[in-house]
Amino acid sequence: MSGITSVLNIAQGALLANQTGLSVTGHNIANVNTPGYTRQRLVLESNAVTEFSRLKLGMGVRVRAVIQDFDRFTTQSIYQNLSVLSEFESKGSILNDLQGIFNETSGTGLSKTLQDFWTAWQQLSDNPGGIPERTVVLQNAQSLCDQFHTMSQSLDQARDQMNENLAVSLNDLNTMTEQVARLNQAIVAAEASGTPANDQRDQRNSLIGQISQLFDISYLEGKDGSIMIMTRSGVALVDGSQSWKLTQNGNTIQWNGIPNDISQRLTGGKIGAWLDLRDAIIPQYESNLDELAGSLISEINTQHLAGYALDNSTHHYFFDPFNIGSVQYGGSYAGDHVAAVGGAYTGNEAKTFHFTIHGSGTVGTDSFTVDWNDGTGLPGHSGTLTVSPAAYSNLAVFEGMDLSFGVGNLVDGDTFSVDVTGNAGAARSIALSSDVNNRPAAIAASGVPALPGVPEPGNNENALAIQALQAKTIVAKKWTYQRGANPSSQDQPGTMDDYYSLLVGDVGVLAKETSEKQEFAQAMDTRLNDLRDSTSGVNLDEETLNLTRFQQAYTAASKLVSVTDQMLQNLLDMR
Amino acid sequence: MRVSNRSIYQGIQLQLMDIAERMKSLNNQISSGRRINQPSDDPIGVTQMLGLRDVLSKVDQYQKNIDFGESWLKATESSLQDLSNLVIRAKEIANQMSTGTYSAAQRANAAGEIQNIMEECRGLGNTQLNGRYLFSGYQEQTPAYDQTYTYRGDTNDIEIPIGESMQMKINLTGDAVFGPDGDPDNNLFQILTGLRNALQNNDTDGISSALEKLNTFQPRVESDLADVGSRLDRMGNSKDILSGLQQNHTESLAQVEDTDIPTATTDLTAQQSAYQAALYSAAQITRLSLVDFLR
Repeated sequence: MSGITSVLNIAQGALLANQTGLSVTGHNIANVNTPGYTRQRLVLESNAVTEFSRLKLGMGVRVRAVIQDFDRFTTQSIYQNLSVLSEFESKGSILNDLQGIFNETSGTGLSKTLQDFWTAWQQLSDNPGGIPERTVVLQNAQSLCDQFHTMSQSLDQARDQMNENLAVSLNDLNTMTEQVARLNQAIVAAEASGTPANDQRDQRNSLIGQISQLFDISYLEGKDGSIMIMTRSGVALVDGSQSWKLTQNGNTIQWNGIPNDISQRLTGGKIGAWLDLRDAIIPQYESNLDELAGSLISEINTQHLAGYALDNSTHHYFFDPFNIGSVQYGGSYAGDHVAAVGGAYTGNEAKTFHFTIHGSGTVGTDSFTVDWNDGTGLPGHSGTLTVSPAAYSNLAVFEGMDLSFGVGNLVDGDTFSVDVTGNAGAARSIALSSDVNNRPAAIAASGVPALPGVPEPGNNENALAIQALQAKTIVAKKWTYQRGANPSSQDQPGTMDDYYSLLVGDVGVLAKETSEKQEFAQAMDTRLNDLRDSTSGVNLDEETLNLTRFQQAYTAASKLVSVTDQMLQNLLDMR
Repeated sequence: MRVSNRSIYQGIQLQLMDIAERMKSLNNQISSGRRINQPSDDPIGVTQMLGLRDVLSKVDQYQKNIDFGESWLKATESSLQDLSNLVIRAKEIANQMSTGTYSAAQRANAAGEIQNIMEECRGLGNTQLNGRYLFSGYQEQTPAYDQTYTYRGDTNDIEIPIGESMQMKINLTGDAVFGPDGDPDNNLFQILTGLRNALQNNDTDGISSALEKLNTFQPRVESDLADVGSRLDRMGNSKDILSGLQQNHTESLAQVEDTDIPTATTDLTAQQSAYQAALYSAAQITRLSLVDFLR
């Protein structure tokens, strides 16, 4: 190629290259604040050499590629940390709300209501014949029930909120995985020509970052440039141009419509946090609150049933015995008598008591026996009761339960059963029994009278015994729930007041731990992002220098054009 | 290390937010006066706090119980003192009338006085406090002694809680104070009835024997008074102990619960300076740009 034209070609190449340089610099400057943007760089190389006589002359510059300075390793670390950060952020904010339910620091929580309840019994023991003191006991007991209800309902509501959050975020997830699949397709197509599709890759990375916030994921880039995403436990989300949806069905999460609950396999991130809260943390607090309410009901009822009211009647319930079911008459039941199971169930497990009658006759006239067992088959968990014409009510069975018969006929072999539940649901259903509700005189403040049938208005023994329950060491269960495992419990001895203050302490400890982990993850996030930015971030001063650089080169190249043009002109002007 | 603009701004923002959060927390502590505003602020502290509040509430109620018990015991004490005076008066009369210098008519008069004393004793036995009979045991709605001087109450002790697992008896029953029902030698009413009859019948032997029985009876009242006195003492002691306990626990509670205002205020001032310094340095950094210097 002749000299001057080739110089023009060189000039043209230079102009184009520097123009491109300016354009890339401009793109970087414009995107200085775009989150997730990776700065792009021009890769220049000199053109192939041509032979000109025996000289090898360079033919200028060309743009080989525009690449991005992407730090693969740091970015992966950022996304992993983001899952952790999002998990503790979400958990932390909800735990703060839950702390409000257990907020004793203002002095108006369950702890105070319990104290007022015990105080009212002490005041009654000072004046067992008084009606105002009894009214106060009932009022304080009602406040206690109301407080348990409120706390239990708030916990229920928090749990339902988790499901709502899940629904929204699963929708977002599905949208994002679809987009990633589409981008995968676009990138593969665009990079077929050999140059990277920088901006689309940035878009895809940003989506991956958002998905990491939802739960722990792993992702791999294939040779063709498409990314496969799956959860850390191996549930596939995106592969090439295909994506799969996660949907929520009641309390389960399903993959691609298959009716198998995969929620155990989603850990970390916001979704992991919400699932932890929904399936472990909140149910744990509910169960422990139920244990407290159940123990209270059981202890108070047991003592109250043994006491005597103002009119010298006895066997009154204070709280409704919520966990004793109704009598279910068995298949072989030919008598017409009525059986009732009552008392204060002091056990903790759910089970079924079975009763079988031996002997025929009439209740109140004849004697008979009743075999009972509690279905566990353990030694000591079965027995035989004797029912005599004189004593056919409030017969002690087992673990606080008692059996009563109404007058009527019975037939040998009659069977019936009663279900008892543990303490689950106690906080939700604790209520004053109809025996004492609005009937202050029915509160059993008195102990056993010296002469049966003669009321003793000054007898405060039962009130004393009930107020002493505050200091009584009982053995209650402390539940631990973990996602993916059955709930386990440990026996925890202590007073009821202690049980509650330890529960509040637990909530505080978890909230504090979560907050500290969140801070740590946040600090990691900052550090990792700084690292990433040192490779991929845009520095305006640097770009401004680049502007100057490309501009000068462009000016020089354009000068080359005008000089070459002048030379051609000179050539043509030669006569 | 290369620093991008985004890093710089992000860094400034996070530091400012950090300081602002600390200022908010300190402000909260100062304005509410409480160091612990939610369980996570100090989980162990919260458990301690609840335990201390529990104890304080119980101590408060025990003090109220003791006040009630004291009022009961004091009323009993006052009745017993009156009773003691009446027994002394009855002894004087018996003593006088047992000498030979008095006539039958005078003795008959004295019998009238003894009858009055008996009624007064019965009245004392039926002392009430707020509508509750002091000496009837658990039968507090029933007068202890009826018209025939028969004891209608029972023999139960009334106890009230004055401390953790500590209960104290606050009453005396009629049959302990006045003697076993129907016993002619040890029951005050029986003795006085005997004395009255002896005076009416001009029976000097009867009068002397009644005097002896009164002499045997009187120490009983004295010892009852001593019993009540010592119970009042014990209640007073318990009250003092409870009062000390209350003070200790209130102090401990304040230490756990309350904000140390001077420290918190100093911390807040420090954070405010830090915030200002951060703002200043942010302003300095963000002002610099190459663009300002080109041409």
